[in-house]
Amino acid sequence: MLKKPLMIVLGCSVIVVAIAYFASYAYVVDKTPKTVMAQIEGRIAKVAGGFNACRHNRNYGPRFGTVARANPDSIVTSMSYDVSTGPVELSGFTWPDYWSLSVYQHNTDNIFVVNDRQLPSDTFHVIITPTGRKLNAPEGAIIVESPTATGIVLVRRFVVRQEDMPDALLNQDAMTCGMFTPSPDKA
Amino acid sequence: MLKIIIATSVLVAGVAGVWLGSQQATTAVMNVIDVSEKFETLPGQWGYSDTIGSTEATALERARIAIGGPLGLAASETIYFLKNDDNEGAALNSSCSYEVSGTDLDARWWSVTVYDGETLDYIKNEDNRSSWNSVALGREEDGTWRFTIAPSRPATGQWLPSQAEPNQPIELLLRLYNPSEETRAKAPNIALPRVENTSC
Repeated sequence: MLKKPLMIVLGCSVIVVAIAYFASYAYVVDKTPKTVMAQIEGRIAKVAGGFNACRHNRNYGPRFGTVARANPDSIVTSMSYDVSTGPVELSGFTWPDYWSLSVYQHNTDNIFVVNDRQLPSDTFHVIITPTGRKLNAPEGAIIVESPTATGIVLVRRFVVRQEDMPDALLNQDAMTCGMFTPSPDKA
Repeated sequence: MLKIIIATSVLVAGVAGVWLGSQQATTAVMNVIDVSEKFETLPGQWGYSDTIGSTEATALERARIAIGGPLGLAASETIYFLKNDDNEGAALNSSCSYEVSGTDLDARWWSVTVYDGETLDYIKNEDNRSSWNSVALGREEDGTWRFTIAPSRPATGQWLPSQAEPNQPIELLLRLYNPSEETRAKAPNIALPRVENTSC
């Protein structure tokens, strides 16, 4: 028969182990995607020249050491965004063989995606704002509300053959990425 | 004295709990081959999940996807199938050659990519080729297609290089971009490519 003090020690220990176990488990699981995302955001921002600037992949075919299970068939433009000081915008032309623009919030969720066939023309204008922020959007612009201050935008172009790369590079060069600047009549 | 014993025990228990919880969570998160706890295993051993990139993913699914394949597109845009075994259920590895074959998949475009099963990165090769996509892939007269996965170039046919070093794990990822409404509705129960071991 265990003595009462020993039972108290054992009981307290079991409760504390259980609480610590579940709390640390939940913390690690919740923190993992944000940690991964922070690393990728930092990496993109570093090569792009900062947040809210675009980085264009200029090479056809597989690029080693980017992210796990990357796609070698897409020529990707990436941008780490930070809307803590205001909305961010991207614009340019779509790509005929397949084009999509996707937005990932800081926990890695794909909160928005649009492809070329869903747009009314071969141009796009996407503005990312903090959730709940009012914005006088230019006509035709797509507004994406980001629940988190930072995140990533990916523009994917399916480039079928190496010979299409010069056009893909021109498509990239025609893109604009940066802080949203309202036109004077909309300000 | 009792208070000191209780405090010490609680402290030790707390540290042990944190250690156990974080270890268990790390093990669960790093189970990236499965990518998702809801990854459904299909006949022919293709794995499928519609939670990649989804805001509906559980915390553990999200964490696994972040490690094993971040920045995937939501199922509304792209669906993914993952394969680590051949059609007989044996693990894919670089000591063997495989024939991957099938019919066209009902999507705007699709691709099959080969990865090193351990690093989840591409496999370096002289052709700089890690995938075949639905546009580049040659078809037979009957519309079917096939290619070989092997460490060295086969005498004939289309080739996707695996590791030159033997006994290295291989993984295949099938992507369907803008699948048709019918494919989306039926997924994952659609005709998927076969992966057959042809020699070891």
